[in-house]
Amino acid sequence: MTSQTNDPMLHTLRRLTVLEPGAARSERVRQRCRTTLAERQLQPGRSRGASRSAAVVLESGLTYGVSVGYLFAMINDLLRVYMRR
Amino acid sequence: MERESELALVARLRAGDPAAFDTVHQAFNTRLFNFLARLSQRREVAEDLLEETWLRLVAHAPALRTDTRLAPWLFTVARNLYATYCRARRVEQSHAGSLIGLWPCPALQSSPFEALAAGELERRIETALATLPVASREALLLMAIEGLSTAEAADVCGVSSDAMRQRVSRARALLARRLAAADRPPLALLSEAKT
Repeated sequence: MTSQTNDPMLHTLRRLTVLEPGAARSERVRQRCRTTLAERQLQPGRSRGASRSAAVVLESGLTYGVSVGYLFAMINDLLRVYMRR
Repeated sequence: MERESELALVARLRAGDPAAFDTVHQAFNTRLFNFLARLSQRREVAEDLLEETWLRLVAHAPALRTDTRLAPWLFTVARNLYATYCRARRVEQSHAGSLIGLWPCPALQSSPFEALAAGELERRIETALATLPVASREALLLMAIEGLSTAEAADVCGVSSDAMRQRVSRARALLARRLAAADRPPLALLSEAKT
């Protein structure tokens, strides 16, 4: 950018009118973002921890359920084969 | 913004400090709006994308890298949101360029105050800038107007520093040609066309 620093056109570009965003909307967005951050600060990791432990419980439950089901199906098949004999 | 205070600000943002957000918002809100307004040529689109940019910052604040440079990060998000907007609207760059070319004065000067404040030269530059292809326009907006370094602007646009330097150089030449063409009176152009 050093060679372009003294470029009159780029200099003019730098001095273009600064466009202002709508003040009311900017303030609304700022407040919304502040609120989100503040809420997150109030519950540091609580919700994340809760959802993680719920996921762990659900995962374990599903694993046990599927394993028990598989075991019963296997025993059932074995018994059926044994009874035929 | 000095690097040390920027790093401290990033650390506070990561921790979810609303006051840190206020500081960043104050420093970048107008800059981002100017970038998006001149990129999109529409105030309402720029306002929407600006809001989305801030929401993205809040959503990603805890995951920010400790050495994040805020200006490139924010301008990258703003630029990507604009690209997504264009894709959603199926606005091709060339098509947008030809559409913009139909408007002698871009719809940026929405208030009488802004229209009054803009001088003749400025109005011509704004018009010429609006007719540049998006890649050229964003290069000039980032480096000439927002004052990002070549490396930062290259980061934002996802190109190498050399490519960015070339892009700015080409954009500058194109802008100069457009301005020169706008300077010539229509009658001169007409006589040129006849000969």
